[in-house]
Formats: sequence, structure tokens, C-alpha cells
Amino acid sequence: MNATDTENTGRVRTTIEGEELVLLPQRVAWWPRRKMVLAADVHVGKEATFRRHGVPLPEGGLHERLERLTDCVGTLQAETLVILGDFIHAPVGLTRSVIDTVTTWSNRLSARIVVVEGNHDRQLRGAPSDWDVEWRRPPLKVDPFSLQHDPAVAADGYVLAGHLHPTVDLRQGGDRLRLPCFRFDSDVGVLPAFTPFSNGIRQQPGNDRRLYAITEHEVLSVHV
Amino acid sequence: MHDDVTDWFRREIGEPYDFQRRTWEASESGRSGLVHVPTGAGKTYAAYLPALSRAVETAGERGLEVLYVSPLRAMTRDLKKALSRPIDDLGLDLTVETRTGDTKSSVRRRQKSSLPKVLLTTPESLSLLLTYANARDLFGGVGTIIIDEWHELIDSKRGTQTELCLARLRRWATRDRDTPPQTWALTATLSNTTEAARAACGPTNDPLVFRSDLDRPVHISSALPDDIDAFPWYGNLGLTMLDPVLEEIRDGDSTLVFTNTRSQAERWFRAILDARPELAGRIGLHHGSVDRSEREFVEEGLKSGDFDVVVATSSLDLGVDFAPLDRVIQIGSVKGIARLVQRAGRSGHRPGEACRVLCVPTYALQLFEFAAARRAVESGELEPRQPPNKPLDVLIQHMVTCALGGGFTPDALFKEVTDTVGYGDLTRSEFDRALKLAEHGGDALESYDFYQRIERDGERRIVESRRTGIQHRTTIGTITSDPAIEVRYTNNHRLGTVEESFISKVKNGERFIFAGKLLELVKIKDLTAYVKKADGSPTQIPRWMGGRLPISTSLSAALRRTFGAIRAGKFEAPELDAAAPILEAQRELSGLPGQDSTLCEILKTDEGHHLFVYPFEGRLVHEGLAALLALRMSRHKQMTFALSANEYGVELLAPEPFPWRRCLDEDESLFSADNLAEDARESINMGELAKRQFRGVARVAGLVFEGYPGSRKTQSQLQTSSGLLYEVFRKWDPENLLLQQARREVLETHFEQSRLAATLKRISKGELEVHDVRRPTPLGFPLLVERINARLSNESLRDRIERMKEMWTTA
Repeated sequence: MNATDTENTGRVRTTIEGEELVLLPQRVAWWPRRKMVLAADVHVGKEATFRRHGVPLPEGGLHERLERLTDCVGTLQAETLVILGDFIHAPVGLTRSVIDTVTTWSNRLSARIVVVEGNHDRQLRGAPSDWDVEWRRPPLKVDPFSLQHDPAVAADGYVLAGHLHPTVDLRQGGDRLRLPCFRFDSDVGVLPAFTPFSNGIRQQPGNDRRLYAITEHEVLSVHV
Repeated sequence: MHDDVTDWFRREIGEPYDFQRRTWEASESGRSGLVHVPTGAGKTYAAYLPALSRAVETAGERGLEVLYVSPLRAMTRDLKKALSRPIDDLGLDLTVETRTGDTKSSVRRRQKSSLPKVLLTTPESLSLLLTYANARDLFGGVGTIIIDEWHELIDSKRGTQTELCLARLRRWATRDRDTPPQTWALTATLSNTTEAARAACGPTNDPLVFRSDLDRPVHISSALPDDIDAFPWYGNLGLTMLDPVLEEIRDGDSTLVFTNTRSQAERWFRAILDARPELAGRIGLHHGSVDRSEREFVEEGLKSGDFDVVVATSSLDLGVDFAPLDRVIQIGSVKGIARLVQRAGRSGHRPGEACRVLCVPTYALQLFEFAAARRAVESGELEPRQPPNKPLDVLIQHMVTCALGGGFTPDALFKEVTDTVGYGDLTRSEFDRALKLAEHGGDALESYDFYQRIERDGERRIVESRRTGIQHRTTIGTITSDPAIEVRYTNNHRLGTVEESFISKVKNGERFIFAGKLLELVKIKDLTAYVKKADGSPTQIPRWMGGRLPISTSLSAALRRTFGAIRAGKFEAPELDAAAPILEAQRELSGLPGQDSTLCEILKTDEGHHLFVYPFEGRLVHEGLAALLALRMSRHKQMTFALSANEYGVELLAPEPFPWRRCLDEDESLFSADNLAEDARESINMGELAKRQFRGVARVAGLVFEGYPGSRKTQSQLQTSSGLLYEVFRKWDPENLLLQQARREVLETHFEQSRLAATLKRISKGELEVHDVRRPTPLGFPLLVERINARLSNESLRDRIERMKEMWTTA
């Protein structure tokens, strides 16, 4: 470890199928051997979708979210950024300014961007042409993992997925906190939603299950 | 008044009461006003007959003459009969029509181009009619507006919505006829009659107030448990008192059983029927989620006397007219003095005759509430019902209504809306900001790219988008509740609706009671829960949201005085004898609350470290007080408190030891009224009250849709929670008007400064009596059980997690 020590605090290293994965409080996973950053459920254009449907929701989250991805790629010197589905929220939310923002971001990002289609992405037939992203049908096999959106068990390989927006509750004496989390079962691992603008599904602890709660600055292994 | 009409009244009804005669005279001389008389005394004809008389004179002309607004859809059927009766009897050529959410689409279509002479509607449907582009032509000629059961509307946003609609009609009608339409509000049971009259008739209309002297004596008795030691300390669903209720239900007598919630109604209906199977076919269930045809069947049964027993919620509180019943039973908390009087009034329904109600406790403390309610009724106390102060969410909704309904110019609309009690002190800059939000979504236009609800056509504001129109019309109104899920048999027969939050907890194959039947959930599909009949016992009892109506402030105060009197040994009642062991337990574990002192209790449990304080000021003030106390306590030691509040008091729960006693002993500022405004604001920002309040605000202002029209795909794209929206706004548009509105509502309802200040002054003038208790006391127990989901914290997120980490995580 060197100068990045302080940045490293709060990360959790874990081993899955013999591969080292690093879980970051930025809500992404880092796979050092492949120099790959994994993120799920970015939901680009969610606010604009609401506005298009008559709900006056302020914009503002998009820039922050994309910048957070840029920072991760830069800090980790990643070569690939894989989005595990639901990169976009809905076609109707891809307004000119949203598209332009993503175009600029994708062209500037030093890493290659691969989007593995999720249920929201499927409404769009491929990425807008100006975006510098590879749009892939799931699953994307990168040994030993099957990268996909749907957290369903796959025949060949440990699944890394999104879709659930998993969260976990911490409680003590009337105090309760709901935090986004990573969830690793024996065959499937689920990443937290990258967007903070989403409701999560609460995960119950289980025998073959590891939960890692995410706070502002750190990832915590939760044992119950 | 037309002689035919007067003669008809004398012939069919009888000699008019004094208040009726006076109302007729006032109406003839063109005045507006409010008629305040008990239920069933004949309010409707007091206001309606002079209006009808005028309608006869304009019979040849087309267009609306009488607009009759009623708060409940369920009432309109009976009202229509009452309004039609003189017309039919006299063979008049006048049409009476109803317009509610239930009106057939063919009738709606017709009403879009022309209204009948007499129109009967609800506030929501009236708003909806005002969205038609030709609304002015439809309503411009209205001569008389009658608002029934005004007390049910006035203190809610529905009342505000009504005020805004009426202000619009007043302006139109004045321009078209040179005289404003007459407005008559009919009300029972409120204490601030002048304010209520001004709100209904317009503040500048110099309204009259007529009261009757027909008040009937009310006899309140309580069913007393045989064994108070075995009687629960808390719970609203318990059937412990089933036997005395069964005893009260006697053959040949008609009995109405009032409950406070729909779950309670379901449960009691089932229990009575199980115990008395011979009642099958003569017992009915009536609540807001039961299908309408089923409800009407029950109402008919009540009227015809075919039903001996009806178990109902407040769905039967109003308007539905039926013959006097022999017995009225109230299950559980009476909630309010006026409400109890009104429910009791269902027995012996003739003016002048005494009415009686038997109150049945579901937990022990309710016995004291009944005793307190009786004292309050005997001394003639009633609650005031105050209109909300300029809620901007309702204003924004109304702006869209007006923009759709022919458009408006800001200057004229400003003048119009400030001609109400609710918006009397609205400033032009508040109005302009609300308008901006209705137009673009917010102040920061660049943040609201692609959003436009109201558009401009020169100075006029209009709506052109068809989608905006459809969306607005489906969401109009100010009643906020969970999305409703239809309940149907698998053969598609409809049973009614439940709230999504309940049905989502029921798993396929589980059994629950609904509409008096034991059902098994088969599947949920497309916002419909399909069920089949089941045997056995229920796995779930439905819980509906609106189930937690707080008891009124007046009743809480009556309860405080009653406890004070008990402690001083100056009060006797049968309830006290029955509850003596409870009083004894309270006295032994802690102490009795006194009139001039404030009882506090400190308790340690597995859950954590509790402080209880009992000011008896009502739930709303207590919620504010809990947040305020938590803030002031947290200045001594950083902490995250879980808060709880009910009618009796507040509870603060700390996860770690907290120096409660030292703070109470030494910190003079804990209950000080100084810096109240600043501290209130700070605790709102730190706590979660504003987030909860935002839920309602967001719905009224059109931010959250339920039953969204259009494809399911759209629905899934728009799935979110108001809590999440709150966070988005707080982060990206913190000055948003609707956030401010939510905070203001919290300030007004929970921190209503004059009341909270008075409470604080009262507490600090007296002694604090602090007891360490070894287990929860009868007073504290309900607070432990029904903890509201609110917290206040001045710890950093990091500290909170650090603290929890020790219990829950390993590094």
C-alpha cells in the first residue's frame, strides 16, 4: 500500500471462486485481476422520466453519478467498466441533455464501457450512436463469472448481478438504519444499486449469505 | 318563499322550527350564512326550500340554480331523494341530478354540456367539473350554494379545496348576475361557528349564524370489565368485551355498533355472528372499503328495519338517514367529544328525545377516557374545527384546475383565492412562487428540463397537453391514502378494496377476513387481489391506513383534568371503581398524573433507556414536543432517539444510557418556551416529521400518483416512494416550495406555537414528578407498543454505525 492508503480505508476484500473482489463504498466492485470495475443499476434519466410523465422532479443526480464512476475508474486505473444492467431508466427519460451528458462522459472515460442489458435497457434497442459503450446481451462470461442483470443462478459460473437494489437494516435500541448492501450467496452475488434514487429490497441474513452494508465512507461486513 | 313550497312543508313535515323559519326569511332577503343544529333536526330543508322556491321562478330558463355539496358519496343517494321529494310532490318541472365518482359516463358526458337545475355533488367532483373548458358557462348562473356537513370538511384540505372552488363560483356568478350567489353551510357540532360561516360563505359576505335549541341530552355509559386484572393494558382489536356487547344486542331491537377502524369492524362483525349465528341475514357490515352495492344493501336494511345489527365505521357517521335506532354501541376510543355526541345521536333520532350510547373499552385506559368524555359532554364542551392556513399544495392543484377550466390571468386568480379564509393572508410573492411551480416544476428552471404543466397564452395561463389534463383529473382531490387494490372472487365478483400496504403482506394461500367473510388469497394480478372462500381461522387481519385517528385535543385536556380530579380524590364514576386496580398499579409503580404537575418516568428495558413524559395535550402536540425534547436532550449528550407519542404523552428511547434525571433536574431550558421557534425548526430539520408530512403534500401537489392512468410499463417506470422524492428534493432543490410546505405543516400541526408554548409554560410552572419505574406502567405501556417510526439524531451517521457495529457486525 502506498499513498492511496487513506482512500483504501473503508474497502472490503473478499474472495469468490478464488478471485479477489474489492467492495467499495462508492457502490462498485473492483476485480483487480481483470482490471475491471463492476456497477449495477445506474438508472440514467430517471428524473427526466418522471418529468416527462408530469412529475416535476429536479435534475441534478446524473452528473454526480457519472462523476462517481469516472473517479472509480481513475483511482483504480481500471481498463473496463461493466454495468450489470439498468444503465438507463426508460427511453422517454433520455432527453437531449441527458443523452449529451452521457455522450461526453463516455467519450472521456479512459476505460472501455460495457453495458450488459437489464430489463430497463431492453426497452431501448441498443445504445444511442454517440455513446462510446458496448451494448451486450446477458450473460457476459468472464471466467469464472457470469455477468448479468438478473440474479438467477447460471449453469456455468458464479453470477454477479444487479436488479434487486439490495439493502440491509441495522438496528439497536429503537435506532434503525437502512443501508444499501452487497449480497453474496453460494451461487449468486448481487451488487447494490449505483443510483441513490431508488427503493431497495431488504435482504434477510441467511446461512450461506454474506452481506456487506455500505455507509458514506466504508463497507462493513454484517454478521447477524 | 313560494306558498306552494311552504304549504308542502307544513303538510308533509310539520310546523317549521324557529331556526328553519329564520333561515327561510334570511335566505329570501338574499343573505348567506351557517345553520348549526344537531344531526337529524332538518337542516337540509332549512336551506334548500328557499332555493327551490327561486328555482321555480326560473324554471323556464336553462342552467344550474342550486348547487348542493356533500362531503360523502354515500350520502348523495338519500340526499337526492330528499331534494327530489318536494319537486315530485308538487309536480314541478325541475331536474335533480347527482355528480360523484360513481356517476355513469353517459350522465357525465351530458353534464359536460349542461347541468341540471339542482346538482348534488362532492368537493372532488366539483373540482373536476371546474376543469372543463366551459366551466364558467356551466356554473355562471348558480343562485344558491348549499354545503352540507361543513364540519366534516372545514378543518381539512378538502375544506380548503371547497373554499377555492366556491370563491371561483362567487366571482363568476357575481359577474353574470350582479349579485353573489347565496351560500348556506349546514353543520353540527363545532365551536367556532363564525369562522366556519366565513369560510363557507366568503369572508366578505357578512354571513349570519343560526343555531337551534334542539340539543338533546346525551347519556354515556361504559361497559365495565368484570376482571380488570385480566383486561389488556393496550390493544384495539381485542374482543375481551364481547359478552357485554352481545348482552346489549337484544331481539327485536335495532343496534348500531360503531368501531374506529375497518379492521375492528371486520373483527367484531365476525365475532358477533359467530356467537349468534341466528343473526345471519339480519346483521350487516358497513365500512368504506366494502363494495358500494353491499353498503347500499346494508343502508337499505337499516332503513327498512330488516337488519337488527349493523357494525360500522365512520362511513355511517354522516348523512345516511335511517330511523332512530334502539341502541348505539361505541367500541374503543371515542376520539372526540363532538364525534361521540354525533354517534350517540343515532339513537332516539327525534329532536328533543334523549340519546344514549354504550362505550366499550378495548384496553384499560379507555375507561378513563369515557369518564372524561362524559364530564366534557355534561359541561357542554365541543372541539373547534379550524381551516388549514394557506396550504400551497392545494393551491397548486387548484391552479391547474383553473388553467384547464378555461384558463386564468394571475391577477384575477390572486384576487379570487385571497377572497377565502384559508388564503386570506396569502402574499403575492407566495402566489407567484406557487404559480411558477405549477408552470415549470420549480424555481430553478434548468433543473426541470422538459417539464411543463401550465402554459402561457399571453397573460392567460392554460393547459394544452391532453396528458396533463387526464393526469390532473384522475388525481384531483386532497384525500391521500395508499393505492387501493380491488378484492374479487375468482369468478370476478367484486367485494371491495383494500390498501396495497395490507395485501402485499398477505401471501398466496393465506387467509384473511374481509367484508365479513373469511377469504383465501389466490393471487394478485393487475391491481386486483383474487380470493376464494375459506374455512378455518384467519392468518391476517387487514389493517387500513386511516386507522390511527388521534383523539381530539379537547378530549385529551378533559382526560388530564379527570386524572387531576381523581388524584385529588374529587371525582367519582363507575369507570373508576372498575379500573381501581389499574389506578393502583399506576400509583404503585410510579404515580398518578396530577392537574398541576407533570408526571415523568424513567425505565430501562432490553430495548434501551426510556423516558416517558405525560402532559395530556393530544397526539399532535406530543409529536412536536417529543422532537423538541429530543433536540434539547441531545445537547447534553450526542444521541439518536427513537420517538413515540400518543394522546397521553411522549416517550424518548435512547440506545445507550442517558442522564435523564440529571437533565430533568438541572436543565431549566428543557421545557422552556424561549427559543421555541428556532428549536422547532432545528428539530424539524433533524428529525423525520417533515419527511412524513411530505407524503401528503407530494400527493396533493401531483408528485406521486396512485392508480396512474396508462400502461403498466409507465407505472413501473414511476415507482418510487415519497420518502425518496423527499431526499431528491432535499438534495437538488432544497428551497422547493413543497418541501417548505411540508415543514410549515409540521410547524403548524405539531409545533403550533401558541399551543406548544402554552403547554411548555404549563409544564414549567408546575413540578416535574420524576419516578424511576421497574417496568412499564399502565400509562407508559401503550407508548411502548405503538411506537411511531420517527427518530431524531445529532450523532453523525458514522457514530451511529459505530455504535450499532458493536452489536451487529465484525470488522
